[in-house]
Amino acid sequence: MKRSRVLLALAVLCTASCFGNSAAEEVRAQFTERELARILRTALVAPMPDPTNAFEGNADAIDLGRRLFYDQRLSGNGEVSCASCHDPAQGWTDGRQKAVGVNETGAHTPALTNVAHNRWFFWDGRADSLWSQALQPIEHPDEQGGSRLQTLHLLAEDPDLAELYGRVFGELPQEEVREAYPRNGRPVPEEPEHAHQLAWASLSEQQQQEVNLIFSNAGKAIAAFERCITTNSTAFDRFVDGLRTGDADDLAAISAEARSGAALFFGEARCHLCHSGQMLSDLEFHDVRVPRSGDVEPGRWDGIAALVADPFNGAGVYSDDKSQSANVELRHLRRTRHNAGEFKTPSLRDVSRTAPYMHSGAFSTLEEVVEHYSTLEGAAPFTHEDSERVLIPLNLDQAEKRQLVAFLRSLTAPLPAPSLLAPAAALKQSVVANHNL
Amino acid sequence: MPKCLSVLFALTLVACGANSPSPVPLAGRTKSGSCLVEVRPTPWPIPLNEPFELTVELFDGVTGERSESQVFLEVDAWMPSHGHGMLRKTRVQQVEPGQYQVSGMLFHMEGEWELRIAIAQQQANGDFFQVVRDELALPIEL
Ligand code: HEC
Ligand code: HEC
Repeated sequence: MKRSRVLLALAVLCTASCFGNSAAEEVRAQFTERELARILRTALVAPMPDPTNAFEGNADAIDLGRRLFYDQRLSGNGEVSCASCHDPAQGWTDGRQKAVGVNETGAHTPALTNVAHNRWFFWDGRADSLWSQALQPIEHPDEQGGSRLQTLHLLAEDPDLAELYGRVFGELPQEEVREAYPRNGRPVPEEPEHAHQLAWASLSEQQQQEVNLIFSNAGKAIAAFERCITTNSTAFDRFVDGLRTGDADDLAAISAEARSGAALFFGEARCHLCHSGQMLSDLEFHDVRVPRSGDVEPGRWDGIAALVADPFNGAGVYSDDKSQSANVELRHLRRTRHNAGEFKTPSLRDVSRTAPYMHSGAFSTLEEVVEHYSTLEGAAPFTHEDSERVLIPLNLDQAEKRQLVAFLRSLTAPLPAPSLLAPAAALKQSVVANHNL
Repeated sequence: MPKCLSVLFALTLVACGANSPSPVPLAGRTKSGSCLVEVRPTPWPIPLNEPFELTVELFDGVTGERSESQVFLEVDAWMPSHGHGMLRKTRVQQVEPGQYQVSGMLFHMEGEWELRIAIAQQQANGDFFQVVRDELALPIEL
């Protein structure tokens, strides 16, 4: 691949501080103006507020959410917490090709760094808020295998959780009322004889709504915590700062090889078409023809149907903002044939820590990912004759592949702050749980 | 107690301001030539991967006067070189005869977009009505 190097109209992009700074000029000259603009757009700011969660900035909600995130008692077998798969020490994922919870699951665990910046959640985007997303793994029979009734009892019976819950959301139902609730239960409409479904069906509509409200509050607390999983201090972020200010140390934060990789990524390799903005993701869905052995996967096509049907979506009664403006995304959502086989463009922040890659974990290294984009050899056929046609074989040479990987590695985030790790109580619980094995 | 780092970032949230519409309208004539269409996107320039709106005005293709006829507008966008379109469906509201406000626009990728506007009108034809469709495509480079 040949690169044309266009010199910059420095005056436009420079702040006063960098005039006469020739090192800075040299670095900038490596990029075209458009490439520079794309790079500057990666600067991370705070995520947009989520109007459907009124508790996201609440300190007690964050504390409660952190405890729930690390609490194995939310699971059917008492052994699986969110952190079992989203391990902060492993880039908030698990290093496995496909996640394993109570059972083996069908998908690769995505990382949670800066997760609140997403527009849609899950690989197929079947949730439109962080809090409604959090409810699904708790009840998924292969992930945590728990239930909303189990969640309610846990919240009420653990004095610390009950206290925090009360402070944020108000009192939980009294013991006499709770006694009427089975220990376990959730809607399983596709299996009318399932014990969880029978228990759920035994509740009145009003009781079901009360349980749903408490369950959605648990999700809102977890989301408040997850919103704190954020970092903007990668080597690449420093470099971007340097581009803005001309600071020589910041400009030296990434290697010359990584800089060349960035020029490719935001330039001729066209990665930026989908990996744009603060998360290096357009937050939307594409079919990048990840090799697969099995059948065509529905991806976003099914994701949209599930999202629209989800009673916990942003337009539902459990959303804290029922105005139309709160649910713009949902209101304008559209399902087309293209959606078949599409998966969410993942964030590339911290990507060096989150192998293996893709929704199916199909690639074990960043080198393999880059090779895929370079040759498209072994790529799955297009899912649909109307699938978008953006990818072309890039035929990168060895040096260019190394540069792209060096750039991707420069997006590595620092390890999470202690305030994001398991609270002492959860550590104790997990020791107890392991002891019981 | 964990405290959101977002506070740290708040400072970076300096307003990029410019919520004003494009000073010069994008303009074109429909296929049949009977209608002149002017489009002003807000904000301008159109931001990548963020919602924006359009004000669409219709003028008579012959007299150049603001069109007063009752029409229905359908607005969509397409990326010819990518083979895909906009991911959202838009909402069109009439502000006054001949002027429409379009919400829900979002260009999620850089490149050449084609703004597609279809104008449908009910016309009397003897003793029955038929729907006549006219359209135009305006190129927008993002
Ligand atoms: C068994 C492993 C496992 C457990 C337990 C688990 N997750 Fe996940 N998580 C996954 C997998 C796999 C996906 C992707 C699933 C899909 O898209 O179909 C995922 C997706 C997510 C996402 C979406 C991220 C994105 O970018 O779209 C979030 C957020 C998340 N999980 C948070 C949680 C929380 C909160 C909990 C606990 C309540 C939890 N997870 C429990 C494996 C797990
Ligand atoms: C057409 C849009 C598009 C383009 C162009 C594109 N990507 Fe991707 N990228 C995606 C999507 C979508 C996924 C997830 C696909 C899946 O899981 O099926 C992905 C996944 C990845 C991953 C794996 C991340 C993870 O956590 O699993 C990496 C790394 C990556 N892309 C890098 C690149 C690089 C480097 C380029 C340029 C050479 C590039 N991408 C070009 C859309 C794109």
